[in-house]
Amino acid sequence: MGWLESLPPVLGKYIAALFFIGMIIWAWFRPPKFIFEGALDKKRWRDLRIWATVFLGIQVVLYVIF
Amino acid sequence: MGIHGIDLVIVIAYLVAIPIFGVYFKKYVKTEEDYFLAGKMLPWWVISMSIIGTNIGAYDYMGAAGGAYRFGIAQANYEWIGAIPAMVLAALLFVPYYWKAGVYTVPEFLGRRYNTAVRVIEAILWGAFLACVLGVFFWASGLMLNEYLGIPVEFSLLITALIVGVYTITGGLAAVAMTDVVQLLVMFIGGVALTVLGLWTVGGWSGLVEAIKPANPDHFKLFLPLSNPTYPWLGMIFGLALVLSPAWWCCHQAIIQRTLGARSEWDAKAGMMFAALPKMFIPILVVLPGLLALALNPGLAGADMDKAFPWLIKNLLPAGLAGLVFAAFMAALISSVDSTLNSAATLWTRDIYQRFFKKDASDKHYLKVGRILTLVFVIWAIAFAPVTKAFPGIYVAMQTLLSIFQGPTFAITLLGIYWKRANQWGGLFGLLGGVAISSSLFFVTKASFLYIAWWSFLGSILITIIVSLLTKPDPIEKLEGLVYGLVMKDENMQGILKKRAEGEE
Repeated sequence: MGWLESLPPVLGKYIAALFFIGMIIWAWFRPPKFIFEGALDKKRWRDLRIWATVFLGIQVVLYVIF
Repeated sequence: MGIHGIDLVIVIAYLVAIPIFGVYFKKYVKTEEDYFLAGKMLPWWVISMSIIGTNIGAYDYMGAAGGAYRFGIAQANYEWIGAIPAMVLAALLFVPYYWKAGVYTVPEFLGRRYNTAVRVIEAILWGAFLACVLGVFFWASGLMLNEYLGIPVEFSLLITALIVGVYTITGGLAAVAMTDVVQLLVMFIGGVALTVLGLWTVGGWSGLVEAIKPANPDHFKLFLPLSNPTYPWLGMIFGLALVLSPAWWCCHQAIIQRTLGARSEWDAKAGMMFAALPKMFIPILVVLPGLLALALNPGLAGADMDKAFPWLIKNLLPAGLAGLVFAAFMAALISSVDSTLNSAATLWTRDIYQRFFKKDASDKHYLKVGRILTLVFVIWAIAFAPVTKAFPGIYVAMQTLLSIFQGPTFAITLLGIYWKRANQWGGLFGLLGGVAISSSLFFVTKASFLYIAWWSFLGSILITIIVSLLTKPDPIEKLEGLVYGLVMKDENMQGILKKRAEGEE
């Protein structure tokens, strides 16, 4: 497992960024009907996929910076 | 530690106001559902704030600030990669199925999806864990009141029991969730005040970096080398982000219970999702103080590093602000205690009492049992709290026990929701097999719990799939409403489940 030990931590930043982006893509594959199920109306701000994109997008920025 | 008059006024005002506010919600409690699920009337913003109030305890302040003092911002992984993606996953995959199933607890859902054995194993584990944690929380609050107000520990335990017990016993989840909202605001006001003053003292962010980086070059990196025994970056991604964190956010009774009390499926999902916003700022309250303490006093060593947060309160804050930050500290503790108390009572009433002792009693009966059990847990916590002093490893031991179960629990819950072919035997053997793998790894290899979680999760997935494929599938009628494909494609079923979850049938 020596090769594993030699992997640099910076690689983690890229894996983490890809992970967050993958989650954003997964969220957008949720059907709109499922997203708005039980909502009072279908106003844009109630689209939870937008919320997920904002929150995970901030994570991408944080993990790229630090 | 001496305390100024103004600090004393702030702390006492806070300790008196919280139970009065909580008891107000007693008038809304008429049935078992009102008590355990807040009558299914919680809006998304209350759920999200209550989730974070439950999630952040006094131990987070102490432990996270100590971790940041030792290893730097890598500690924030627990609030970011170790939470945000899992919260999105919980909101968009797990929570809607729990809510639609109309269950009160996560073990109850697993019991419906798999079988009674799975429900019992999970219920006993969570029941024991929550009861034990209560004792630890009570002891911590007793110590804090003793430290800051000079009240004897035994008397402090009684004060905590009185403050939390009064509104949790009478008002149930509604009182717990609404007081959590106030507690979270107090936590943020106190935490931000401490951080702003600390940053101003060290000369801002650049001053902080200049003070720490020369001697600790890795303190501003989120990922640390694999040689780091506590935060190896690979373990952070595979163990924390992919297994432990989803297991916590998707399967933890105290966290999930708030979403089950949502007024609609959208509120349940949005409540969990929006909780990610305050969660992102938690490092400002618990990680930055550790770095500030390091910049101001790099001399703390060994176990004293965990006192980084109290050191800041003691040495940095002027009169008035110290009381506010102490109130924030108490808010973190009390908001975790009330939630744990309410969840323990829910779990013991629904999964143990109702399942094994009295099945078809009236609604009023279970409401009464829930209140009695909450009182029993308060008394238990007072009695058990001093034991945690004699055995300081109890909390760590319980956390370890939980981490042994977390990978397998997450594995069978995930497969249970996403794969209709997963059957009762697959679920049971997947859970037991996964626990056997994690126990073996823990006792034989002494590997980091981050890696143990990952391998036990994978092992559990594999066992569940193999056993399910080798045994008879569960009948479709049993799975309706509990599995992804069987809800999404059937609009009629969605309507029935919605009504069931709202208690209309």
